[in-house]
Amino acid sequence: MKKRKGFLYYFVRNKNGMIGFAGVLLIVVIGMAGTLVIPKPEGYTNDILMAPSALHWLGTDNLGLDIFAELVWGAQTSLYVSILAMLIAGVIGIPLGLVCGYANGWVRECIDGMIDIFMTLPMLPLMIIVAAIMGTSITNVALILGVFSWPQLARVTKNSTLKIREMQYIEAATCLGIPPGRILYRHVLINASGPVLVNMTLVMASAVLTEASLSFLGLGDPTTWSWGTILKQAWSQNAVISSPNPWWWWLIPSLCIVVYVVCFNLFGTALNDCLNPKGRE
Amino acid sequence: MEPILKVEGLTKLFPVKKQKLLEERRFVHAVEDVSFEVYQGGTLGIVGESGSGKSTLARAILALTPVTSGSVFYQGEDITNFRVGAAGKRRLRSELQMVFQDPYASLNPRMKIGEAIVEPMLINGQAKTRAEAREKACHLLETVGLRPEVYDRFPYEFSGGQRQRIGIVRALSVNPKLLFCDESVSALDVSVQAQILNLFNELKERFHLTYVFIGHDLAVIRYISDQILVMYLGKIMEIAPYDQLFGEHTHPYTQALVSAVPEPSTAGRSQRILLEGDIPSPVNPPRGCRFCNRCFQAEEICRQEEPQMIKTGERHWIRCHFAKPAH
Repeated sequence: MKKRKGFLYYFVRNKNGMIGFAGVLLIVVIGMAGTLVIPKPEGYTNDILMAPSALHWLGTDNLGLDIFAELVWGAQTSLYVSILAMLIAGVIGIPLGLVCGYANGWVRECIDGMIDIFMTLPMLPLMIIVAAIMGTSITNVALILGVFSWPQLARVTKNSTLKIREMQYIEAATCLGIPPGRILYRHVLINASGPVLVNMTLVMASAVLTEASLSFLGLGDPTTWSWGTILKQAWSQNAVISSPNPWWWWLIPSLCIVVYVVCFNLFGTALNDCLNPKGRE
Repeated sequence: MEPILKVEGLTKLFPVKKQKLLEERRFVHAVEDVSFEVYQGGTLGIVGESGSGKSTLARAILALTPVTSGSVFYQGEDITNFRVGAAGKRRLRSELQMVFQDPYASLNPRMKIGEAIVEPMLINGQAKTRAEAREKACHLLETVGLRPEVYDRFPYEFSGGQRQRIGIVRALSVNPKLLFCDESVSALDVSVQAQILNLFNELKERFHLTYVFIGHDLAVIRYISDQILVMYLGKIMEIAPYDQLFGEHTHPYTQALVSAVPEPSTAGRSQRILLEGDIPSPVNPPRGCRFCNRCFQAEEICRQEEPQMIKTGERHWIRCHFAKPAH
């Protein structure tokens, strides 16, 4: 009997994956622990628009608030929004995708149609409308993101299911009298977990982007910090074009968003490669 | 004696996807008008080349694919498409089992061996508790010559022969009475094939099994079967007791198959019958006899008229215009 190496062995040796994982971990630690140590930036001080220094590591904004503190609190928001959005998208998208891929006839047609309709909806304008109606709270933003990103997850799950349901072990399970629901989660879902997990991390990454867009447009939660909110404030004060330019105000939050998205994508791709025995090289 | 399994006029057609809007619906004639009986303790071998409908036949009997027409009787009860209620279905799903062709594809790669064996036992009620199921599974693993330690391992850690043994244990775990073996040794090395065939023979005695053994290799089928059914293009060409299949009075297709069996001998062979061409498309099967355009005995009547099954002896039927009926 040959013993093959497990998932961890390959993941630890995947350079991109480890970079992504380190980034994700850093964001999680900062978002969780940072907010305990650093007080929430509120009100105003006299240190207006100060460049990065020993006192204010990443400078201050036009109200004299510390940008680093804002970023830390923003990281927490980003995590909260993206995890909640991912969970909602997963809870709706994965079961629908499984059923759509496994069922035949009108059930499949119905779910397929629903996925197609949701995919063709213009996301951002609709989200703006919904956000405007539901009110601007961070949980609402996450809800909207989740409800609008499930079709992507459902489609990936469906495609994997279509492939897996033709495998002989699924027929064997049917032949052994395993009920369809159990086949779906014990035999199909576990074999589709690679692409599904990757797409969940992608949903997290795009949730942060969309949350930043909504906040930038003023549809975020005004009482919480998010990277989009910082950018919106910088933009409204003409920070990008004013001279001398307070670059730390707009450039660093933008970089944070980029790093977050890139890290999650790297992490997701590496997960896929290492979970799939054929992608391990 | 009542047969344990009786199949009557079983037909399975697959619709062909239309290419044009106004096109007549066409069908792949996978299995057509197949009837046979299997008796308790017997072994029926089904041979035929790829595409002759052997696997589809087994799947249709086991309700893994819906039957187009015809009926299946198990112990006298009509079980076509397993329309028998929840309790009856559970009984059928344990008493009729299948060992699959590809030992690499028939085990869930993400499920431990033990889990794969225990799961159906708990669902079908062959064990009440997980501990009891585990004990039974380990016992079965030992019966087929595997160490009980394999219980906590994953399928990729095993060779083809070992996996096929695991597949057999999984099928046996639910106490089957009728076991279908769909090309169960074709994917294995010849030496391993022999081991698994011997295992099948041992298990038959031990668990009082009845086999339906599907294969394309007549040498394998003849080793294990006492009745052989020859299929060609979805239809039965011949049903014969195993010892009569190698005799004089058989279907021309069977003769071709028999002459293709390699024999370890230094003496020159009498004559090998080579069939020309490929098996025709099952979408438009030839009019008349299915085998007419490859048959070396074909005459005009074969191309015009489809022959019926003719009884030529005790438990021996041939579908050929030139078969000699028994008196």
